[in-house]
Amino acid sequence: MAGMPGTGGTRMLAWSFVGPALLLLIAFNLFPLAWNIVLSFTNADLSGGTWEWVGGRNYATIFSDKSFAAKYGAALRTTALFTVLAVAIELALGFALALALRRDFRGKTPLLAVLLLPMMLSPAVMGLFWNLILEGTYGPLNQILGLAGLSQPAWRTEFKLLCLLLVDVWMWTPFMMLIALAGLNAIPAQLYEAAEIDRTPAWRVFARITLPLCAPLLGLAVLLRATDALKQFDLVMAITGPNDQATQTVSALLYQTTFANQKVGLGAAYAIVVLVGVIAVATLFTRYLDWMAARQGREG
Amino acid sequence: MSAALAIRGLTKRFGAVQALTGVDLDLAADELLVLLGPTGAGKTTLLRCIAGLEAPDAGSITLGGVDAVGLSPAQRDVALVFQNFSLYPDWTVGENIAFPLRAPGRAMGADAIRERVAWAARMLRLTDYLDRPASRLSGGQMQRVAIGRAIVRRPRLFLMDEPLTNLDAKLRESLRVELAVLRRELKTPMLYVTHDQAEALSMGDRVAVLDGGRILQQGEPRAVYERPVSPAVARLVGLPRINLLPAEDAGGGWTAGGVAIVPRAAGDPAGRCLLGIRPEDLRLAGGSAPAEVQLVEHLGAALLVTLRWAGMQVQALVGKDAAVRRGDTVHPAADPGRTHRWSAAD
Amino acid sequence: MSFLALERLEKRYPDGFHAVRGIDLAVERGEFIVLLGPSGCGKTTTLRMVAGLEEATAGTIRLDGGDVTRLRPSQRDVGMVFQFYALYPHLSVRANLLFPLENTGLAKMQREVRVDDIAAALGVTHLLERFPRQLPGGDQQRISLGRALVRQPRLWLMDEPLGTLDSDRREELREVIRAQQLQHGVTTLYVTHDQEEAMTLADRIVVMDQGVIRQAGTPSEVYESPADLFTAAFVGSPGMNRIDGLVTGGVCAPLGLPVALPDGPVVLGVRPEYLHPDDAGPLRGVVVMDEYLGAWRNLHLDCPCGRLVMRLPPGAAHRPGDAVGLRVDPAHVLCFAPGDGRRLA
Repeated sequence: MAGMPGTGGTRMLAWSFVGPALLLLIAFNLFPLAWNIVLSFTNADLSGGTWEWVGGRNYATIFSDKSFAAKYGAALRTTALFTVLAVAIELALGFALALALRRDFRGKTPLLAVLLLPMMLSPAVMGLFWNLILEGTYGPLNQILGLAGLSQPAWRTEFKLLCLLLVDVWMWTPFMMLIALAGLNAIPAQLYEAAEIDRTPAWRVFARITLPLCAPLLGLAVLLRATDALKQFDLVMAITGPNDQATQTVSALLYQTTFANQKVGLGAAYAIVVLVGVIAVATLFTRYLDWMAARQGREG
Repeated sequence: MSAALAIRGLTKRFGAVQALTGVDLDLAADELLVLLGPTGAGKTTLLRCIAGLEAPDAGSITLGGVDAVGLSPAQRDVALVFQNFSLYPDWTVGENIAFPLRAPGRAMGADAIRERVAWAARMLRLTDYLDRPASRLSGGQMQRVAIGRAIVRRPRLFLMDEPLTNLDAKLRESLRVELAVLRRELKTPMLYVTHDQAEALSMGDRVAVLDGGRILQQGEPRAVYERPVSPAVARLVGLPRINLLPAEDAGGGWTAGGVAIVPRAAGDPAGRCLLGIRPEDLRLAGGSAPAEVQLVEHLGAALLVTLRWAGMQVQALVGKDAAVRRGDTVHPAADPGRTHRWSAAD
Repeated sequence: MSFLALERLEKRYPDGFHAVRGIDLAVERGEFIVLLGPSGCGKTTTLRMVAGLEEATAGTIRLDGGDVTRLRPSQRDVGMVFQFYALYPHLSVRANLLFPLENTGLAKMQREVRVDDIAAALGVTHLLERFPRQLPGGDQQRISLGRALVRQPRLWLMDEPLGTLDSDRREELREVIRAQQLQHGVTTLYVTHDQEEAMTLADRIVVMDQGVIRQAGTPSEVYESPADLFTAAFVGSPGMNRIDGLVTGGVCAPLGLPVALPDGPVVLGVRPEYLHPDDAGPLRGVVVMDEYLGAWRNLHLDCPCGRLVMRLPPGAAHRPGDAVGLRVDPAHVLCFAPGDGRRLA
C-alpha cells in the first residue's frame, strides 16, 4: 500500500490496530531486556539490599573463573547434545509421520487430532505426568516391563537425559509433522504427475522432488524447534530439578545462579551472553533459509 | 461538457522500473477507450493510478473536470472490474451485486437497492440466477456478476482490467459484444485495458496503444490499423501480424531481398525503409518474383498462407476458395497504396 | 491398425460425474490430433486417461499394438506438457531438461547432447542455467515442451499449453509446436478450447461436448461440413448462424430455398461469410453492433429469426439501429434437425 494517498483518519485507524501490540511488546519484551542489561553490570542479589555498579566484572567471571567456566561449559554441552538429538529425532519422526498421513483416508481427521494432543498440553504438566510413568517401582512403564518379564531400569536416576529427550520428542514430534504436512501439501500434484510420466522411480521422486521442495519449510521448523530446545527449562525443572549435573541445561544453570544462589547480577550477565549466542545461531540459520529461497528463484 | 477523464504527463516508477512515462490521455463523456498493450506495458499501473490505488510520481489526473490526485479511491467514484472476478463465493448473485450499494455513506433504502439490483441483473441477463451462490456459477456468469457489481452503482467511469482474459475463447467472443452493447446503452465512459487486439479494434471508439510505459499512438481503431505511426504499433495491432520487410531504394522502387515490391511514393523516407504489408493486402499473383508456399492454415473464413519470398518469410491472408497448396510456387504482389513505409531508424 | 486407439473409453468419477461417455478414436502414426471443446466437455479427462494419470472406468486404450489401459503412466512411454508448465522449481532449466533422461540408460555425454539439441531447437540455450521462476510464462512453456520431447516418447500429450499466455507468445509458440511436431514426427494429442488454435494446428480436430465426440475431421471438414449444430456453433469465429426454418412442400422458409426434406421444422445454418448485404434479400435486420477487426468486420444484426452475424470486408461502418437487407449463398446453407441438432443436409 506504499504510496497510497493516506488521510489523517486512516493513519489513526492504523495506530489503533498496532498500538496495543506495540505497548505489550515494550512492557514485556523491551523493558525487561533493558533492565536485564542494566542488572548485568551490578552485583544485585535476591536478598534485596543495595546494588553497586561492578562494571564488566560479571562478564569477566563468566569467561575466566575456573569453577564457573566448568559448570558453564558442561551446561553448554548438555544443551547442545539435547538440542541436536531432540530436534533430529523429532524431524525424522515428524517427517515420516507426515509422509504416512499425506494421503486422504477414512479417519484421518480424528487421528490427526489425537497426534496433535501432546503439543497442546503444558510442558510442566507433561513433565510431572511423565515422572509418574517413568517412576522406578510403581510407574506404569516399569510395571508393564515387569509383567513382560523384562528388566526394570531406574529411568529417572540412571537415564535422566534420555527421559528428558523422550518427553520432548513426545511433545514436539507432532509440531514437526504439522509443518512437514504443510510443506508436502504445497507441492503441486502436477510435479508428481510429470515425474511419473517421465518414468522416475519412487525413491528418486522423493530425493529429487519431495525432499528439496519441503526443505525450506522443514528448515524453518528446525529453526523454531532448535531455538526452543536451546532454552529448555520447564522439563528439566519437572523431571530432575535445576541442579542435576546430567540435565543441567543453560537455562537451568541460569535459574540456579540467579534464584537458588541469588546472584542476580551474574545471572543477568550470563543471560546476555547466552542471548548473543542464540541470536548468532538464529541469524546464521535465517541466512541459510534466505539462500535456499533465492536458489529457487522465489520472488519477494 | 468537460471530458470524463484527462491525464497529462503521468509518470510512475517502481524502484528501477519506469512503469509509465509522460502519459497523456483523454476520455470523452460517452466514449469507450481501449488501452492496448502487451504484458508489462504499464496498462494495469495506469488503471490503478486512475482508480487511486497507486499514486503517480508526476502528472495530473482530472476526473470530470476535478483534480483527482489526492482523492481516495472511494471519492473518485469509479468502478473497477478485474481479470479474476473477485466475487464473494458464499453470497448469492443478488447479494454480490447489491454489495456496493450497501457501502457506508450511501444510505439507500432496501426497496431502492432491490430495484437497482433487478435492473443490473436484467441488463446482464442474470435475473434467473439472483438467488444462486456465486460459487455455483460458470466463469462467464461470474464475470457478468462482477460487471453487474460495477454498473449497479452507476459510477462516473468504468475501469476494466482485462475482464475477459480468463474466459474460454468462445465466451470471450460473445461477451465482448455484450459488454460493448451494454456500455453504449449505459452511456457511461469506459476505459478498457486489454492485450487482445481483436477486443481493442472491435470494442473501442478509440484505441490507445501502450508499450514500455509510453503511449505510441491513439485514434479510432481504423486509423490505428490502417495508418500505424510506427512498426511497433503495426505489430501490436492486427492479427495475423503485419509483414515487416527491410527494404532499399533501388532507383524509383523499393526492393526487399533483391525483389522489387512497390514503387516509391511521395513522402517516403530516403535510402532504406521498413516496409509493412498487412497479410490481407498481399495477393498471391501478379508479382514478379516467385515465392514458395510453406504452409497453408485454415482459419475458417480465410486461409493463412506462409510464404518463402526472396529469403524472407511472409504471410498472406486469402479467401478460402483460393487454390493454393503447400509446395506451390506463387508470385506475390502488394498494392502500393496499402503498404506502409517507415524510415529504418524508427 | 492405427497407432493409438481409444475403444469405448469411459470415465465416471466416484461422485457420479460422467466425464467421458464411451468414445472411440483411431489415431495414425505421426498425426496431430486436437481435442476441442468447452470446459467440462471431457477433453482433458480423455488426455489424462491416455497419459495414465486417470484410470479409465471402462473401455480400452491401445498404443502401438499393445493394450496400455491398465499400465502406469511410467510404463506408457509418453511425454506430457501441462497448462501450468509443471517445471521443477528448485532445478535449473538444464536440470529440468535432463530429468526425464535420468531414468534412461543413456550415457551422461549422450544426455548432455540431447539436452543441448532440444534447447537449441526451442531457442532456450541462453536460459539453461536459469531457474524456471525467473522466466516469463512463454519461456517456461518452451522448456516444458522440451522436457516432454527430450526423451523422444511415443506420444506427445499437451493440455492447453498456450492457455495462460498472451496472444503474442501464443502465436509464437504455436509455430514452435508445429515445427517440432513435424520434425520429430511424433504422434500428438493436444487439448484446447480455442477453435482457432485447433484449426491452425490440427491434422484432425476432434470436437467434444458433454463427454462424447461430436465430430472428428480435418479442419476444413469440421468447418465447412459440421456434423451437428454444436460443432457448427463452436467452430468458427464467430460460429455458424442458426435460423429456425420451416419446410413446406420442399421449400424452406424464411429463405425461400428449395430443400429435399420432408415438411416440418428445421434449423438452417449459415456461416457469417455466406451472408451478404442485399436490400432485395429475403431477410432483414437491425444493426446491433459493428465490430471492426482490421482485415474484416463482423456485423451483428437483430432479425425476426434471431441474432445473425455477417462477415464483411472492412469497408464502411454501419451504425447501430441501421436496417440492413440480407441474402444467403444457397450453396452454403446447411440443414439440421431441431431436436438433437444432427445434420440433415
